[in-house]
Parts: sequence; structure tokens; C-alpha cells
Amino acid sequence: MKKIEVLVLLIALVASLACAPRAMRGGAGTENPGMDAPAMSTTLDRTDIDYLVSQNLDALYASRFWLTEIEGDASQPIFAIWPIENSTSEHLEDQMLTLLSSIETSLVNSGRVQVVAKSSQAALAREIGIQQGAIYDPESAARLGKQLGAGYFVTGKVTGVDERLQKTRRIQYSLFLQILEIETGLVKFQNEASRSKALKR
Amino acid sequence: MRTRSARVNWMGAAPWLLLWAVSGCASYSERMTAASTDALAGRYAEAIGQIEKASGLPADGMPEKIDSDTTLGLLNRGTLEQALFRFDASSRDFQAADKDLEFLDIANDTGGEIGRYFFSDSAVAYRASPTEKLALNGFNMMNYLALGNLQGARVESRRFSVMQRYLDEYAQAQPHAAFGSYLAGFTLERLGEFTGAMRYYDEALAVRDFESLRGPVRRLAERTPYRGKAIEKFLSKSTPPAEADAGNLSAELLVVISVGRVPHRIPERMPIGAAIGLVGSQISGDPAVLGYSVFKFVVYPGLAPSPSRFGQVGLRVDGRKAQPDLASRLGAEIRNEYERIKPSIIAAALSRMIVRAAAAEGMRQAGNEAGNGLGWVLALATEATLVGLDKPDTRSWLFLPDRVYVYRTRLEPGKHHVEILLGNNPPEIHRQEVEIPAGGFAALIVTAPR
Repeated sequence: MKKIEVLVLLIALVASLACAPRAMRGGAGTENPGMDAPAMSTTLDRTDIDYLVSQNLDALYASRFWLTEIEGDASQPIFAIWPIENSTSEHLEDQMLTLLSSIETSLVNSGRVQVVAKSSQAALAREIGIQQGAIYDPESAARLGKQLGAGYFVTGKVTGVDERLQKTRRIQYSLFLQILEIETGLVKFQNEASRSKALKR
Repeated sequence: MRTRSARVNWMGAAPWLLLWAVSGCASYSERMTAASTDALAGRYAEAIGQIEKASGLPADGMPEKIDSDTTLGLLNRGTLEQALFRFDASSRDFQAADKDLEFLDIANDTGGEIGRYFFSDSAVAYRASPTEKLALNGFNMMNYLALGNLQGARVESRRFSVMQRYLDEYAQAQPHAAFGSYLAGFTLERLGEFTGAMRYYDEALAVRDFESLRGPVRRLAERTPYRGKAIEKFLSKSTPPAEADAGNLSAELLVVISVGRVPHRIPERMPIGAAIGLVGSQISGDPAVLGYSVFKFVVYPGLAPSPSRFGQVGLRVDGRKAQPDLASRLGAEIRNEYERIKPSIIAAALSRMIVRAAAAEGMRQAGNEAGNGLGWVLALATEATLVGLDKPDTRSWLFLPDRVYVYRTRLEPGKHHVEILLGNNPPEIHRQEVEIPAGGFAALIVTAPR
């Protein structure tokens, strides 16, 4: 009888251990390289952001504007990044930070342009009365650009077409990226990359 | 040596034991009684503790799993966080609840569906009603507006529209949470999206006239050509408000007051004969088998009014009396929704009774054929066990406020004193000092779910 009780206790212990949550490492160079691959929700994840940013920046680096006006300019023009507008039905505050950082990293590493640090840009924006997260408007941009000594602004928006149909919800995301010349207000480059996410039975 | 009859006795006793055990499982509304009592007395922080205990939510944290209890817990906790002016925490809970409800809506729930057929409606994952779904985005919009976060409110307004479109397509003639349209219009107007704002105001005005929109709609009409049917009608019959001509009113105050609680679900009984007469055509199975049943009442989730302390709402801005608009009567919308689906709810409960009676009859015959004369005991035990398991589905967003009032006015920039009067005899007065910059706005959100 005692043996049975011990056995039951052991089984319960093993079962409880088996059910306990377990922390794990994932991504390249770990034992779970594919951990980031599955979609967990309809919001944008790191894989989506990497895709949207790389599609847009690959198009930028291959554009006539980049090849002639940037690569041809030995002075390394100064770029500032204006917040990218979230026009979706998802709260994407964290994703927007990742997205902006990815764009910034890529531009810095291109070695062809200088990029204004976000912290100094934010402080200056506050000084001249531009609210944090404000949508791009040419007048404020011209004021801020002049103060920063920047020649171009990188800006854009993430849009999402959100639909539900019975047991499916799908959001079609697009990242529009624009490079604007601050002095003239002209759009020097524009591109769009899209990705869809769905939750379905 | 254990004899066969001893085993049969055990078999007979087991269902009764099970019945005793399952009848101890409280329904959702019973588990929330303590939270409800605390909330009614205005002890919101204590009520939050009770909700966390009853719903399996970690204190002030997010649940690790998604299920009906935790999702409802988030909805209820979010409402009380808002009542405590903890708008960040409320927004976090509402946002998580919104995602979880969507997941529960879409998730495959075969086990639950089978459970519903045999046992109880509460075996399936919780599905929020259309009013609850629309109200969720509306109440979260309030959080973002209180925090001055227009971009966050804009996202909620989009979510509100997506849900509204979805419900329009699949559940036509459902009520519109007009307060959500009003707040979405306000958000877009503040963001300078005037046409979008007018579209939302058109939706709100299609439900009722809002005195507080007289000025804003007239002003917007000069900035956008958009005219919906309700806007046209509103503009043709309304005169400009007195303040429209004043030149120094560049600050804006928005006040949203939510009081009372929507009706909640309780178990109700109806004689079988009356129920068959009411919903006979919707029943699956042969009702004749109910003649063998020892239970002569069908139990189904009914709707009972929730206690509400505040029948009246008043407002004073800088000492002057103001009249807020009653934007939505969510309780009435919930009741209308319920009355539309009540026959299906009763029919489902009756169908389960038929399944139980048929199972009991099968046991009776099997017992009698075995020749031990225990057929009736087995039949009774089977039916009683299944009845014990049949808990009417009393789950709902318990603390969803019954009525939502809105008010807005233009003021001179600077400090303003606002008093909100809840109830009368004597009223409970909430006093707030707000400072509004030139060209800016302040949103005062007062939620009292009692």
C-alpha cells in the first residue's frame, strides 16, 4: 500500500514538473533556430518588420535617387528620421520603435549618409514645439530640418486593411517609406512593401 | 469478496456523488458575488482583488493562458481600473481582453460544443455580445483620451469601426454603441481628420440627437463637404449654440460619465410545457421523451436588472450647470439583444433536457433488462447527474456600465473646475481641476459602475 502511495506521489511530481513553464532561447545560433518563424498573432512581429524594412531599403539603395544624388555626393548628406505614422487598427508602439531603429541602423551602416541621433532630434523637436509622435507636416519638418542641419527626412506610414469574415480575421499591412528633401519639400523616393497576417480557424 | 450487488450499489451511488460534487461548482455570477458587493459599495480596489481571485488573474498582471474566465476577468478589472482613474492599467487590460475575445471567437471549440449539447452552455468558450464588443473599444478610447493619447484613441476608433462593419454584415439591425461613434468623431476632429470625424458624428446622430454636437458639427461643416443623412437633418433643424461666436475659446473640455451596470444573467426556471409552447419549433430531438423525465422545469440563463445607485447625472463647469447628453443606454441594448436570442437559449436548454431524458431512459431499460430491478435508480442517477452538470451560462461583462453620458464645450485656456454629480438625495460629487492649454483639450472620464 505504501509503495502505491509513493508511486502516485512520484507520478504527480513528474506530471507537475512536465507542466511547469520553461524558459527557452531561440533564433539563429541557438537550439531553436526556427522559434521566431511561426506567427503568434495578427500584429507585426520582428520577422514582418525585418521583411518590410528590407524590402523598402533594398528599393531605396537601388533607386536612381540613391545612386546619383547620395552615392554621388561625397559630403555624406544628413538624414533625419521623422516618426512613422501608425494608420492601422493595431497598437504598434513597440513595433514602431523597432521599425525606426532598423531603418536607422541600415542607413548608418550604408556608410553613405549621416543620421541625426534620435535623442537629439527629439529634444530639439520638443524645443521648437513639435509634439512627440506628431504626423509629418512640411512646415514643422522644414523648421526642424533647418535646426538639425539635415538635408532629408525619412518618413512614412504603416497602413492596415483590417477585415473579419466568419472565423477569419486578416490584416493587410503596408509600409510606405518616403524620403523628402527638406529644402524643397519634394518627395525624392517612395516605396511600398506589404505583408498580410491572419488569424483563422 | 466484493459481490456484484455491491458493485451495482457503487454504480448507483457514483452519479449521486458526482451530482453532489458538481452542484458545488458555482456559476460565474455566483463566483463574482463578492466583487459585485464591493463594487456596489464603491470599494473598487477590493473588488479588483475579488475579480482576480475568481478569474484566475495574477494581481495587477496579465494571465499566462487565454480562457473565458481570464478574459472576462480582464474586462471587469479594466472597468474598475478606469473607475479608479488608473487609465494606463485599464487600457492594458482592455487591450488584452480585446485580443483574447477575438482569439476565443475564432478558436476551434469542438470539445466545448459537445459539452454544450450534453451538459451546459457554459461548456463553450465565452462569446461577447455585439454590445459588449463595441463597448470595449469605446471604453478603451476613453482611456486613451484621458491620457491625452490621440494616436492610441485613433487605433481604438479603427478597431471600433472594424467590429461595427463585421457586426453590420452578420448581425444586421444590432444596436450601435453611439458613444463610441461620438468619441471616435471627437478623436478624429482633434487630429484634424475632419471628414472622418463627420462620418462618425453622422453615425452617432443617426441614433440620437446630441445637443453637445451642435457647435462642433456646424464648425466641421465649414471645413468638409461630407454630409450624411443624419448630419443633413441635424444641421437643418439645429441652431448654432451661443458660444459659437465667441473668439477666445480655443480650449476644449470633454466629459464622459458612465454609471450603473448592465443587466446580468441569472438562472431562471420555466415549466417544460410552457417552454415547449414557446419554442417548440426550435427544439432538436423528440420532446415526448420528456414525459419520462423526473424534472419538470427547464433552467436557462435569464436577465436580471443590476443594482444601480445613480439614477441621475449632473454636471457643473466653473460653477455653471451643464447638461450632458445621454449617449448610450447599454443596458437597454443588452436587453434587446437578449430578447432576440431568448427563444434559442430556451430551445438549447430544452434540447439538452431531451438528451438527458433519452440517456436516462436508456439506462432504465438497460438496468431492467439486466434483471436486477435497478433500472429506475440508474435512470434517476443518470438524469440527476446530467442536470447537476447543467449550469446555465451566466457569464457576461458584469461591470459594464449601463448608461454613458457625454458633454463637451469650448473654454478659455487655463484652469477649470468641474463637478460631476452622481445620483441625488444627496448626490455624490466628484470634483476635478483641469488645466487646458490653448488649442488643446482635456478629457475627464468618470466611470462609476454601481
